[in-house]
Amino acid sequence: MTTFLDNVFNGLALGAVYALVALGFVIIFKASGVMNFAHGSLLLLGGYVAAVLHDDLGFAGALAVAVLVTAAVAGAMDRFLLQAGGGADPHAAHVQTIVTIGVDIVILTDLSRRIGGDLLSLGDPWGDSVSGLGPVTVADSRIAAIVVSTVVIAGVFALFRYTNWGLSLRASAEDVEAAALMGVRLVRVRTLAWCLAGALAALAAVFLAAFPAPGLERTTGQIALKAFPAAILGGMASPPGALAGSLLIGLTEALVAGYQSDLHVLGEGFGDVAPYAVMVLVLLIRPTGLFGGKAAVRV
Amino acid sequence: MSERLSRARAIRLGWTFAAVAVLCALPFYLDAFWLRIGLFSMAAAVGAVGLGLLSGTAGQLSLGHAFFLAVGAYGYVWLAGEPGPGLPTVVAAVLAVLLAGAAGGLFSPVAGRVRGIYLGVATLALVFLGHHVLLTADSVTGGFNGRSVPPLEVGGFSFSADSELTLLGVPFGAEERLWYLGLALFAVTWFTARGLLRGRPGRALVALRDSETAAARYLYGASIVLILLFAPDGLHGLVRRLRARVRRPRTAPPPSNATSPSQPTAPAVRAKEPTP
Repeated sequence: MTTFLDNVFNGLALGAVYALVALGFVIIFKASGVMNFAHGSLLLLGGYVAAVLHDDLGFAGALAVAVLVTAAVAGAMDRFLLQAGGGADPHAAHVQTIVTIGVDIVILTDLSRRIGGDLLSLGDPWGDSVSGLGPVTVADSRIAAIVVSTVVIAGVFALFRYTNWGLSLRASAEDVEAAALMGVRLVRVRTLAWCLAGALAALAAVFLAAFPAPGLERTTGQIALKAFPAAILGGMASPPGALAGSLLIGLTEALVAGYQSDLHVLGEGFGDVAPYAVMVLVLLIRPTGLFGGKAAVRV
Repeated sequence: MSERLSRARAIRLGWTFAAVAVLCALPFYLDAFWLRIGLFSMAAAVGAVGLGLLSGTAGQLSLGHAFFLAVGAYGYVWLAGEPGPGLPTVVAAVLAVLLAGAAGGLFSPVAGRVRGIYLGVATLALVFLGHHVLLTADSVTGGFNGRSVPPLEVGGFSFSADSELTLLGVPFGAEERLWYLGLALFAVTWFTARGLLRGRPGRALVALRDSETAAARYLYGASIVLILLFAPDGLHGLVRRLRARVRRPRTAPPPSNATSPSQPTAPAVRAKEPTP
């Protein structure tokens, strides 16, 4: 029973971090129709900046700079690379999606060169301390992950709901042309969305590199790829869906990894690919994800 | 008017022949290093034609090409090698292409149901799941270490450096022979894709891109089109096998005057010395 609770808690913590990343995917997708494959390297960039600066600025300062830098890079990438081309082409979003793969390769190559084989510490205040929570012992960093994610995600939802920017974003996701005619500045709304997603990715990097993970390494960004199935599971255009999908993916991964010895049939390390298996199953039954609306097509 | 058209056509035909002639002459002048790069390019070109059909013509975003490629490559190695049925390599190559096509077909229950970005990520899932399966299925794929690739043999002619062959004073090793195989495969891919695009299936694909509803209503069932579509990936798999063949040369020592892979800095373009 304790093992089960352990796994569930790990899964929830993992899911909370995935939710930060998946929410980024969803915000970008809602604002621009682009699937951002560069998200993993943006995450790595945030982690790297925090790791380099935490000696001089302290953890909080370094994190703030990292969040700002990543947000700026994400915004600039959208503004100057993606929005520059395309235009009226109905397949522009597909083309831009493929452009993000190229951007990912460029950023990732440079960061891999800088990080090399090192394990960077982010200097987070939790270290390797643990607390007893009822029958289970959990790492403080995981509790922090859950708390911070919850607060941040609630904040993002409030942004969607109560700010002008959120309204503009929702309006332009609904109908670009009508939103533009009502005076929504599409370019600005879209760029801000990318900035927000970048900031969330940088934040996620901190928790992905914190204990019990050994630290930030060049493959940390690949973990972000697991938030893809999370975002897709929930239905790409639905932020609450991304949240639910992330928790589902986190739980699946933790449980499969926790009970690996019983699941030997599926091969070693199945936990790493289990999210994708779950996603394919869900897509077979609900082709637009759990929370995605049915698409109506006019003929 | 028609005279002008036929003249333009003749010119185009002339250019085509010139290009083909240059491509066919290259192995006589380039050394193995450059031929290997050319082979990589051909493999990529075959893959690009398949992706072009899929993403460009039919508007289906596929990120799972690597998976179909792996099915083709490992399919060939398993079918032609030990352990495995040990079929003649030609049969294995054809079956490997069909196998990759069938894998695409098997995926169509998913591919036929999800759209756009969902399809992209669903195909991405194939890559991760496939990678896991390939690492786990040791007896078929050799696991992490992979397997050596049996060289293709057509009617007693081996596409490897096992047997001596000198043509017009130039020794023909594995790369030179594979070069022509690659050209032929690319030509087959090219003409298949062109024929597909010009005929009824091509119109169905364009319709699928522009209005899936209309395509489903008036043409084929969309899933049939998708099965057709994922099938050309198999060709890519075959050429990937070609690449695998080049990458892991057999341990047999190369003919003394063939350029060894360890001298990539050799002068780029030079006529090969004739064999003594």
